[in-house]
Amino acid sequence: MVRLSCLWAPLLLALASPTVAGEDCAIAVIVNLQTALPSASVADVRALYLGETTGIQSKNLRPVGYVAGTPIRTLFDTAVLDMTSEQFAEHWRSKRFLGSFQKQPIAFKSVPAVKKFVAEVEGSIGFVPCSEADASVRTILKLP
Amino acid sequence: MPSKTLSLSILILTGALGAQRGLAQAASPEEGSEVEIQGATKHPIPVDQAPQNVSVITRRQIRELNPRDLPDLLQLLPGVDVFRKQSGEFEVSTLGSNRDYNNRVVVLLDGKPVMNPLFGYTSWRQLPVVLESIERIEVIKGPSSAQYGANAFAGVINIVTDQSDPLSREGKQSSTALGDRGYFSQTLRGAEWKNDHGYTFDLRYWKDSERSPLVDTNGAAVPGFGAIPDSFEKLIGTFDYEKDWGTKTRLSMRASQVQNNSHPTDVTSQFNLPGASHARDRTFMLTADLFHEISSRRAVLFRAQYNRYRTEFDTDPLLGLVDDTKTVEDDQFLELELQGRSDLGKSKYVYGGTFRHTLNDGVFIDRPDEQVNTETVYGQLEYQFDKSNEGLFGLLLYNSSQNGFDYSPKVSLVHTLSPNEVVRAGWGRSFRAPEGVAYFLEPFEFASMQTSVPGFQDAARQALAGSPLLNPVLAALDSSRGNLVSFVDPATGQPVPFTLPKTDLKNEALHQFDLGWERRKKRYLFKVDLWHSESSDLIFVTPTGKLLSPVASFTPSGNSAVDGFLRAAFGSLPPSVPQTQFHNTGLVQKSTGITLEGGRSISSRLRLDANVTLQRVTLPGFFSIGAGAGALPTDRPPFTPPIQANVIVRYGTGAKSTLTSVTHYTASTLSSSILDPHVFPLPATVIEDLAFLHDFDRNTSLSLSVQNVFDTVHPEFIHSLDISSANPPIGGFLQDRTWLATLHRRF
Repeated sequence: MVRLSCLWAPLLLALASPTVAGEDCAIAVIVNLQTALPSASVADVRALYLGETTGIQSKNLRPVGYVAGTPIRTLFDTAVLDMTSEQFAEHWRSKRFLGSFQKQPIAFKSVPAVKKFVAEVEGSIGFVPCSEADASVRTILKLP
Repeated sequence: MPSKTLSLSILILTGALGAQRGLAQAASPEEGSEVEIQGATKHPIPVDQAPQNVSVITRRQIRELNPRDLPDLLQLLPGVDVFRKQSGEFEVSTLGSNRDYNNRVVVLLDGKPVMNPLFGYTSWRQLPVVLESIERIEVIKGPSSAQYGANAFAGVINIVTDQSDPLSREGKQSSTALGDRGYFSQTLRGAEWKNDHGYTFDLRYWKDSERSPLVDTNGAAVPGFGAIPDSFEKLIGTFDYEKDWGTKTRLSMRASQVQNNSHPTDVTSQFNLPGASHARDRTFMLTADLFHEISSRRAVLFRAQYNRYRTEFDTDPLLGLVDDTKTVEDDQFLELELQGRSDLGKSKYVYGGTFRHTLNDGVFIDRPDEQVNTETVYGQLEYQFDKSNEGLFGLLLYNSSQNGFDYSPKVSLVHTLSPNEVVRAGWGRSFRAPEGVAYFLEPFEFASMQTSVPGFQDAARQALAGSPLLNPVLAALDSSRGNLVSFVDPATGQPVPFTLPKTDLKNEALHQFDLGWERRKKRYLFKVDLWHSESSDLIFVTPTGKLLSPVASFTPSGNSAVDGFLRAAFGSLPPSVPQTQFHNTGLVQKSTGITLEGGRSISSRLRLDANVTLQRVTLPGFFSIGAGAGALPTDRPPFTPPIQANVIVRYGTGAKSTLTSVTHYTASTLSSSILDPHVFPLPATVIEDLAFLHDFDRNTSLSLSVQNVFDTVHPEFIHSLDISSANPPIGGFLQDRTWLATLHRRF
């Protein structure tokens, strides 16, 4: 029994933790290098981008994203937020109408702009295609 | 010009992180539809979806134009009237509704009223806000009482700051400004956020003086004004604290104070008295907001607000007769508001109620009924008929212990023709409560003079102690606390009692229709707004005649100041001289106008914006140009220039520098006196600004601006209460050139 647990443990860990390098990866969730956050789950990221939390693992984060219509934004909305871009926009329109003090994710037009922003601003979190996740930022989650 | 999406990115970035990273590079508010405002509907909406005619000034424009004061910016907006008064004080209003001590617009600071509780107007000098903290200024033109109650008669000006946003402006900043005429300003700002709470503070020391001495139409110095030192220095401090409980509940508290030393106060200067000295104003504002998101569809907000305006005059503010007489005006109000919001998909509701308790005490008011309670309940429905059509329906009910019941409905429709093009139509009724006027007129009515003007009593008592005729009058003044005053009839030697009616004014009411169309694309904007309004139950001061007829003779005391005042207050005795009184005139003022705005990016570096306001405001049967036998009737009320125009050219000399040129023109208009229905023509005014902004890096920038001014200073009621002579109305003109340099630094 103990041996079985040991056998399954790495697999379970792999499923629950960020995708390891070399695997199929479409989107990399990135943070600033100064941000002490080693990893995050899809649920963490979703809650953050919907304004249901202000951070991950007690670390305040400022999410950034893309304007509607960009391919990576569409992919992220589907894979992480489980909603369309229109639903996402309506979600934040409603929060703003109600007077929520949560800030809607900052929207950029291009991948380099997001990466540059995250690289420069401590406490920021964003997402880029995995191929763009270089050493200027830290990847905390990879999504297939 | 950046693309629309890029503008969006930059804009949002500015709001969220501009302060932290020195990236306050928002798009021009009219370049895209991404700018959000909240004054028009009490919640954020894109500016091009606003159900009313709206104009916005952004932080970026403030940085680029480097103004000496806020009204310098507001006058660049179409449909906004800015009139300069003495001592750097201004009156700002919209759509041809301006007046002295203007309470026809409501000025909000982050959605909270900052009006003077006595007069209902906003003193721009006493605003508890630091220029550097302003994110944007929203000007909502047209009736807004359905949302903001009394006095949102012709519009609302909402100043939105970053004071309650410590997370976005963490760090420390400094701004130092130097200019001519002794202008100096030093601002320190700081903010910190830790986990679930944070604070911001702003501190500004600011001194300025009026520009060159006023001149008349011939270029000669205006008598009297040159002798009065005209400057101010003030200290503005704000402290804001935020505390979150999760992501659904936030408590926001803010305390702010303005300590303003004026030389002289605008009130004393208007009386053109060489003896006028200076006043110290203290404005204190304390607010607490508790927000709770009940569910994803409902939220509730509770607001408590306390404002206090206290002014200490070195001399009597009305007369300046006794140099060592100190008088105090102390006005305050407490306001509570409970507001709910519901988002039910196609329909969105904002509803709530307010309670305000106002307490006025001091030199202007001293009577038993100086406390006023006001209650309102309001509701607003925004309904989306389909993807292209949305409607707003609002209703506010109002009750005041002083002014009784009133109401304000509002309807507007917005139709989206295409993603870049909308049309809107609206109608609304608003009202202006006369409390400020009612209070203010009382000192000028004989009945209340004895209680409102202690300086006058002292001086008059000294000067007139030997007068057998006026001694009894003084006795009556001393003994009367109400509206009963007795005079001595010289023919019989007996007192002649009579009663002046207590002021009983109705609210002014305004109905307005407006129609707007705008088209925005990546590189250009074109916008047209038309309006027609009718104001009824207008309150003006008019001759009421013979109130003082029992007094048959007048023995000059020999003191020219006292004699002059008596003439002004009682009419030129002997009897049957008309006296003046505020009342509902029963007249209807009509206003019809159009604002045109256009902007186009000629290249990636050059952008041209222009706006024109054409308006015709008529008030038949009331005013005349000039006084006396030569007076000519006119149906044109004061402060309603037929044409205003602005041309703004912005040139980016690279990523780090911007050169902006502004030309403002106001056509010839009329000015007025508060105590009689005569108006006086004033010439056209031109103001030219040239401003240069350079960002050395993300943390350091330098703004330079030069302003060339030919502007009018309105005479208001100077002449009628000019106690030293029977001068014609005194106004004047500023013909001047000033400069200002501001260094911004982030740490």
